[in-house]
Amino acid sequence: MVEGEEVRIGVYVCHCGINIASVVDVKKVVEEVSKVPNVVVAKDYQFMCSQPGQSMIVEDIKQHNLNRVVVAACSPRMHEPTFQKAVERGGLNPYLFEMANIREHCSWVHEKEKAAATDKAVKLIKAAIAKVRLSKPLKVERVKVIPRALVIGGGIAGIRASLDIANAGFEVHLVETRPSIGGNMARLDKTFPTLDCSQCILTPLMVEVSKHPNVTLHTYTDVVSIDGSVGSFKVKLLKKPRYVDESKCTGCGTCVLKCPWTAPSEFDLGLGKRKAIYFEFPQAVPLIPVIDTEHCMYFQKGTCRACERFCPTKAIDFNQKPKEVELEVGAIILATGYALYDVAKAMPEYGYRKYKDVITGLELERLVSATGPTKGQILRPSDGKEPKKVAIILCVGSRDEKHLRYCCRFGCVAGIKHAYYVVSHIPDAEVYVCYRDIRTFGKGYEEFYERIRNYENVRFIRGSPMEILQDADGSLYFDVFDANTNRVVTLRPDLVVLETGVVPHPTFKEVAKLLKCAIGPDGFALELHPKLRPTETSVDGVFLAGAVQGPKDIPDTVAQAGAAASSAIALMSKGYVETVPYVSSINEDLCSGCGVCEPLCAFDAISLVEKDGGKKVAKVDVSKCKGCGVCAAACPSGAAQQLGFTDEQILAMVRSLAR
Amino acid sequence: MKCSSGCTAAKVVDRYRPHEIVALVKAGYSEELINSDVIWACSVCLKCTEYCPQRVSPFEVVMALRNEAVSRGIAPPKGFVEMAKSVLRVGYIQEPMYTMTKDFEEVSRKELGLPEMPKPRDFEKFRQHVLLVGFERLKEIAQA
Repeated sequence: MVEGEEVRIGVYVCHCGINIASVVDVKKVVEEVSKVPNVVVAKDYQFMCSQPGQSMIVEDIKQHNLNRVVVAACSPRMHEPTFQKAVERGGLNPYLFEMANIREHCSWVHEKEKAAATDKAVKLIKAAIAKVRLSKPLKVERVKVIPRALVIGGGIAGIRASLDIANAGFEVHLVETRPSIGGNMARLDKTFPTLDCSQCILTPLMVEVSKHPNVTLHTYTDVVSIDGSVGSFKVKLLKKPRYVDESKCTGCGTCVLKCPWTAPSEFDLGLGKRKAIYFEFPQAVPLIPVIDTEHCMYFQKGTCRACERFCPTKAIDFNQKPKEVELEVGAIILATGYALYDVAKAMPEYGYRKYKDVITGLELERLVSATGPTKGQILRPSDGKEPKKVAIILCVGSRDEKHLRYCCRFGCVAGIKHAYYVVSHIPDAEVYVCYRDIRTFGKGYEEFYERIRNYENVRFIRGSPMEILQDADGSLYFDVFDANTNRVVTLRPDLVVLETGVVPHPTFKEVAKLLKCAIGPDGFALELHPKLRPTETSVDGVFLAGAVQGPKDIPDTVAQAGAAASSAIALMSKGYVETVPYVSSINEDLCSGCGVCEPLCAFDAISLVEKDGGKKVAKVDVSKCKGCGVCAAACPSGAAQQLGFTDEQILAMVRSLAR
Repeated sequence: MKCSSGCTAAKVVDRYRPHEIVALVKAGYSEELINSDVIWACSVCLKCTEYCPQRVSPFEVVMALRNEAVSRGIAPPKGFVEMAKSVLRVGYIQEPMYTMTKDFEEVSRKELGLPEMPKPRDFEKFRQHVLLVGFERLKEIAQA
């Protein structure tokens, strides 16, 4: 539109089926708002977002020569882009459009006050009209997308996403904080419900991703900073020293054999030992050992150097330093996974860590694994004997208002699988599975439950114990109320397996801080929309794969990893992104150079620059500005304005609402 | 149903299941419970309140049912009234004298080298407070 041109507004009131119309009197609203100056047309329609609804706007713009549009419907988070596109099709700048939320902000919350809700709808629309009247066309810029992706987390989610992106022809950098990729899946012996060997299906992918020409692996590496935004993120990685020269090491393992010092194995969750120089696990990728300086005698006392002496390729390098790696990437995939809930600390009533024979499900996986501390035998930790009576307790910490409110989504089927482990390894053992509900929702899970339920020596008890106690002779016992028999039974198991709840991996919190991406109330990454945009985050160009978004089993994790990869591929194939024009703008004539805004900007987008004549003024880097509006709110002289939300516009809305 | 798994009273009173009391109240069977002596089995250990994963407090539900019963003049079981009387008389639910050892030997606190049980310092004040919360009413109902 041309400056000084007459403002001609079209207002469209949506019924949203009956979501709005059953509470708000839409006909009356249309009648009221059509009286407002500059409103040329006002209409209501059952579904404004539908094809005919949108066409109505396009036609009216042409027919009535409209230069502003207001749609009163749902939240702009839902349909603002839909209507902006319609307005654009009608030939208008999409920012000469305003949305009034009369669903979430009105009909849904005032269901029982119909007259008042109608009044409020009119007020909200009048405020939107007051704002749109002062709108100016805004320009969208295109920014190039660097065709390279960063994947954070080398578990099954990160591996799958990396492979998908690499296979599409894009460069991928896969970062893992541990010395080997593989994640939690590498710890499992078998995967439910098919009982195929976890390592057998995972290790080929680990090798494939490490050998892929498009993939660069950064193991034993942390992400230390992330700047920039979608299309061009600047990332700094810190490669921790392994004290082994990766270019010389052949992975022969002589150093590990010769090392005389031991420490608890992280991979075996402390159940077994490893050397001070160690491979994370036998199938580690890359197959390069690491020196744990805390347990290495050379680092502690300055003597030993056995590994260095015996290494046939002279690969040991005690002077290795942390190495910084800088990267520029267009897209980021978060695949940081999960950790187990700290049951030892949060639920002392179950005696985990207090009683040796109370273990977690993940620890049982290590006992059953052929490469684990017992070489695949189920032996209880206290005396190394084979347990004849095993209790498996589900929902430990999960679905609990005092602990984790959510379901862990794999504990039930994992518990059923663990019952199978016991009876297949110790045929004369009795297994008791204590459950609150059995949730076997995945494909083939119910059939698997059915199969295990039919074992004579596996009993399902419908109830959870309150506490696990120890008798004078050291044996464990607990009471559990079984709803199926209406009896309190006392169990004296040799081994107790806790199917513990899961929490986001601690690295997620740090990465989320670097990215400033939204975290949900349960601590997991918040997706943009729980149903329609489950892999996207509040930060453009950052996608989610696997348990970082919420607890997930392997099939769901792999599916989401594929979805996240395809979102990243779509972004990089397109090659550019359009910036949101709601950025901050400084009126240099008003700016006094006080600098209040500079430290407040969370995105480092504002700096003070010197103008000719020595006057200092704030300057906005629009590529960094996210349009949060903090500077505009803080500026004492009104020099900082957020485009699309200027003080003038906000005050016009306030005046309209206060009338 | 962690409450019923760990309930102190349920270990000795088969009919008493805290989860069942809550479920019955929710389903509208409060009248039945108010007239039943099962609500007097709770030993007020509060483990149910402590461990309930849904932040339900069966203990509080039971107490509400008991108060309702008393306010309507429904007599609690004899044993409970005896306990109440004992509290008014000596400050304890029963006079601590002898205890049974693992070998079924009866021993006194003195023989075990235990100090004498402390009594309420100001017994009359203690009685007044106990009466304030409606203990006397229990006795009256039982006698009527």
